[in-house]
Parts: sequence; C-alpha cells; structure tokens
Amino acid sequence: MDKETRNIPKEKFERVQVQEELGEQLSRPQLSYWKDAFLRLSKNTGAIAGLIVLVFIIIMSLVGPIMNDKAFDDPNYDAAYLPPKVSGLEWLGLDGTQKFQVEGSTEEDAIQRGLEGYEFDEQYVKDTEVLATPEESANGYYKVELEVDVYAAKGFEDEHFWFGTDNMGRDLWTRIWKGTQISLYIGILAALIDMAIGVLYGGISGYYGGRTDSVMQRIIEVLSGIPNLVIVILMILVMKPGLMAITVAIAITGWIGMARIVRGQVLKLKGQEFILASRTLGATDNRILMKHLIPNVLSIIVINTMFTIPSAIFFESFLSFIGLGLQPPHASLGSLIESAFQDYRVYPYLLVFPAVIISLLMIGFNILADGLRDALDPKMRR
Amino acid sequence: MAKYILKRIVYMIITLFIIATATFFLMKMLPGSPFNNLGGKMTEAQEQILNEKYGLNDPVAVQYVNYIVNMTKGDLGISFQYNNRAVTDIILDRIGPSAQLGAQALIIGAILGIILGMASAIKHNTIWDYAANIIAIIGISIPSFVFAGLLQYYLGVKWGLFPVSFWEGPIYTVLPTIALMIFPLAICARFMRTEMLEVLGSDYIELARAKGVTGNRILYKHALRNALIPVITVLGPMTVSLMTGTLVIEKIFAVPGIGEQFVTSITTNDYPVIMGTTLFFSILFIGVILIVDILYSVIDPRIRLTGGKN
Repeated sequence: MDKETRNIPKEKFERVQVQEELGEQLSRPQLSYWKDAFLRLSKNTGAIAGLIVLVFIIIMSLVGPIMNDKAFDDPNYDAAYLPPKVSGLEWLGLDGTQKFQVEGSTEEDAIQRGLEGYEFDEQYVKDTEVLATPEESANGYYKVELEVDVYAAKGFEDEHFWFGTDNMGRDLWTRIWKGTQISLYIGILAALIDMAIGVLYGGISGYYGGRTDSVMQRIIEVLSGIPNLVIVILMILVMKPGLMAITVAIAITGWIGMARIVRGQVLKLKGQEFILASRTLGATDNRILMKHLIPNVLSIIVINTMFTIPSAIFFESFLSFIGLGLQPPHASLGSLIESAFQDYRVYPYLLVFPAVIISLLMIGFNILADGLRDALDPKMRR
Repeated sequence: MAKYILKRIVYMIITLFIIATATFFLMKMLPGSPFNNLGGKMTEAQEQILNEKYGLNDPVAVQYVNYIVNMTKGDLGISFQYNNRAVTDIILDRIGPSAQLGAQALIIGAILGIILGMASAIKHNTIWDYAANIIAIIGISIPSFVFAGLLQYYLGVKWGLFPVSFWEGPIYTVLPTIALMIFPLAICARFMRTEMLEVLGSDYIELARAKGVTGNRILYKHALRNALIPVITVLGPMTVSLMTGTLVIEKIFAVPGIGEQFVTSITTNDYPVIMGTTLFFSILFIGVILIVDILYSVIDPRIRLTGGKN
C-alpha cells in the first residue's frame, strides 16, 4: 500500500465479498452449445471466407441467368466462339479480342494463313506479334500471334457476352450459372437424403439393436460393397442418363456413411445413465429417440452432412464429365468442362470459367465443413 | 481371424452375385438385340443363326445360369463393338497402363502426402502448417479433371515441358500421374497430420523426451512408426478415388487403359464391356477394402476384427 491509499479514511472502504450468494451468481449470460459453436465458427476466418464465397455463388446461380437476356439453350452458330467481353473491364483482358497462334514460312504468310484458316478479314486484326523466328522454332516456321477483334469480325459489335460463347454460340455466362444450379441441387438433395434416410436408418438400427440391428447392418454391408459408379450405370441402363438417374443413385447409396456414424453414436449413447434415468421415468422409445438421442448426435449429423455436399457435387460433375450425367442442351459444370476440352487450346476461357466456379464451390464447402467440425466438436480440433 | 476373413469373403461373394444378377436382368430388359447396331443388314435367317450361336433363344433362366457359370470361369461375354472380342481379353489388354498409372500415383502421392503431413505436424501452427493445410484443402476440393485440364494447358501446351497426351514412354506418364496423385496426396497429408499430432502429444513421447532421446530419434523411431499405421485405413477411399480418377484422367490424356475403354464403351453403348468393366471395378473395390481391413488387424493387434468388447 502506498502512502496515498493509507491516507484514505477507513469508512470510505466497502467490503465486496460480504454476501456469499453473490459468488454463485453468473456474471455473464449463459452460452448454449450452439451459441458457443457459432462464436467459435465466426472466429474462424477461413470458414467465414468459405461461407462468403458460397453465399456469393448461390446468389449468382439464382440471379446470374436473369441478369442478361440470353438463353442457355439457344444456339446461334454465327456467334460461336466469341471471347469474353465486359464493358468497363477491358483492362482485365475481357475486351472481346482473341489471340490466335499461326505458323507460316514468312511473317506475312503466317498471318495470311491465319486469316484464311479462321476466316477473318484483315481489317479486324488489331495486333500481330512474332513469337518465334524459323531459327527459334522447332519446325523451321515463323510462329505469329494474331490479336483479332472477334466481335467486330463476326458483326456483333453491340453484343456483350460476359463469359464468351461456346462452339454453338450459346452464352457461357448463362450456361455456367445454370450448371451451378444443378450442382447446388445435387448437393442439397444429397444432404436431405443423408438426413432423412441415413439418420433414421442409423438411429433405428443402433437404438433397437439385437436382431433388427444385425439384419439392417447386413443390408448396409452388402450395399456399401457396391461402388456408386456401378449403381449409376445400372440406373442408366433402365432410365435415361440425366438428373433422375443420378438422384436415384444417390438415394440408394448416399446415406450409408451417415447411417453407420449415427448408429455408432446411438449405440454409445444409449448405454449411458441419462437414458436409463429417462426410461425409468417411463419415457417412450419415441421420446428417448427424439428428445435425448437425436439432439446428442446432432452435431455429428451436421458435420457429416456438410462433408456429404461437396462429395455429391463432385460425383455429379464427374458423371457429367464422362457423359453419364446431364445430357445436352442442359449444362452442368462437369459437362461444360468436358466440352471445353475439345478446343481449350485456342479458347482457354471455355475451360477456365467453369473450372474456377466449380473449384470455388468445392473449396468453399470443404472449408466451411472443416470450420463447422472444429466449432461443433472442439475435441476433434487440432 | 480365419473365421472373420471367411465371413468377409462370403459377403464379398454375395455382393458380387447381387451386382451380376442385377446387371443381367437389366440387360435383358433393354429393347432390341445385340445385333441391331449392324444396321438391319441381316436377314431373318442370319439373325436366327446368330441368336442360336450366342444362346439368345434359350429361356431366360438358362441364359442366366450360363451367364453366372461363365462369369465364375472368367468369361464376361463378347463385345458388340470390337469385332466380337471377348470382354475379358479387352480388359486384360488394357490393364497395364492403368495399373502403372495407378501405382505411380498412389506411391508418389502417398509418400509426398506423408512428408507434407509430418512437416505440418512438426511445425504445428506455423506458416508451414497453414501452407500445407491450404495445399491439402485444394487437393481435396478441386476435381481431378479440372487439375488435369490446367496441367495440360500450362505444363503441356503453353510451356511445352511434357507431352500432352498418348502413352509412349515414361515421360508421357508425368502429367497423368501428377493429375491423379493430387487427391491421395491431400488425403494422406491431412490424415498424417492428425495422427502425428495425436502421437506427439502422447505419454510415451513425453517419456522418451524425458529420458533424453534426441528430437530426430523421437520423430522417426517413436512418432512416425505409430502415426503411419492408421494411414492404411485411407487406402480404401484412395483406391476408389484412383478408380474414378483413371476414368477421367485416361480419357483426358488418351492413355490406353481400362478407364479410357470404359468411357468409350459408355458412349458407344457397348453393354457387355460396360458390365464386364463394372464387375471388374467392383471386385477390385471390394478386394481392396477386405485387404485393408485384414492388413490393419495384422499390423495393429489392438484392433480386434472379430468384434469383441471394446
């Protein structure tokens, strides 16, 4: 104690800890489990960034197709292979020009061949650049890069295709967001099936145990042995390839992982004392399942569902990529990437835009799922 | 142990039997005959002869028994498209490149993944750890066909470092292997990191440190060995990813493997090849899962396969 404090008269002091019961009082509002998890999640910058990206993509997939007046399935062969053009973003390279690499014995010859090959008039060539002289190139020809204003050359000066057009002149912007809608639909569907069938199946199997459990587990064992791909192919043999076949395939096997996890948790929980207490008090099976078991496994259900979504999205785009998914003229991100492979060497934007969107979508869901796992189940965090 | 393995093999056979039965009857439900695609150039009599030759005039039950019996002998039927070649021959012909590609991707991917996971566990919560995590998230998230496209465009077309397609020598395997190994690498890295962190926090590591064992010795002698065991469990999902991966990667890089064949047969509706390959993939898949489970119990005796009390 310093001098000044000592000089203060005794009466001015007041004891803090007289009332014992004050020690028991909570100084802050109680945090529920979900509030606590939400706080943890909001501190996770990665997960929040993932969430923002996802929200942006979801909004764009709904708003994007109506932002311009172009239809996703309206071919216009005159407007094929128009590069991306956005007014105001010309400095980003989205100026409607396209670079073509051509070869010839002289520089002029190369340019002439390029103009003939791609059917452009010379006046639309904005710039030429010699990439390699015969001495430098491998095959002894001049390698020249032509920069062509494709919109002017094809007579679409007033049009703006933000992401360009594909080989049939369809607007890539509209097609990409339509494809994103498909991906999101598949993700939501898989999540719903996981929650409806998986949780119910696992819950019943784990809770009732005994013969019910062993029969249900044998069914799962056989089903899980069949690769997803096989089921899709079987479905496609009976139905037409498309959204319906994928939906049925996911409905048949998509819930198995969830059912196993829920069963394991329920088995663990049902032996604990609070369940016994509830049963002693006369609670029905239904009540125990709904009031005690499900809330306790809810966090694991949420985490697992979040991981199901990206894998379902991947599954659909993979199937569309190998030609088992959506059929043209419908677009999915996988089928857009697949068709881009035919000519991405000249028109890389066909590959880049859908590739970026699907990558962002997948990364967003995966990071968010990781964040949710850390937030809901702190024991699992490292 | 023997009882458990026997039980698993019985399940395996049941599953395969269900797949085979389902495919057989679904194929019977399809309209038309296998000879439709010859363009109606055959007379009625010729078609009858062919039907007789391939046993298509027999009752369905007889055909089914024949199909199952032939299957157990390794005869998966005859392709509609490839000059009536046996499906088994087509698969055997093309197994080489697929196996090589898969093995390269699995081994290199797993080794790099383990190194990455270890590094990020040792440098826990440093910038290295975050960087490794970002690599792992990207590897898990981005589909292999997107990766393949980007690799092909930048490393192949733009910079001309590696050949873009075909299968004519070791250098041709570089790009497809990289594209295929990203996913195993990412999965291994994440799993290894988790396991390593758990092991490093355990009591026996503490004890070793207290005894005065040097840092490196603890890492390699004590931690790594124990952390490596559970990595075997990710072999299952990794095989699945390699199987689906080969389909797209072989198509993109024009590798003459089973996956490429499979995609082609889908586009040409060559049902016997589709079904044969499907069955082949199923056997591979179920076999790997079984081997992983057995291997795991052999290496780590704490895991009791017979499912006692734990």
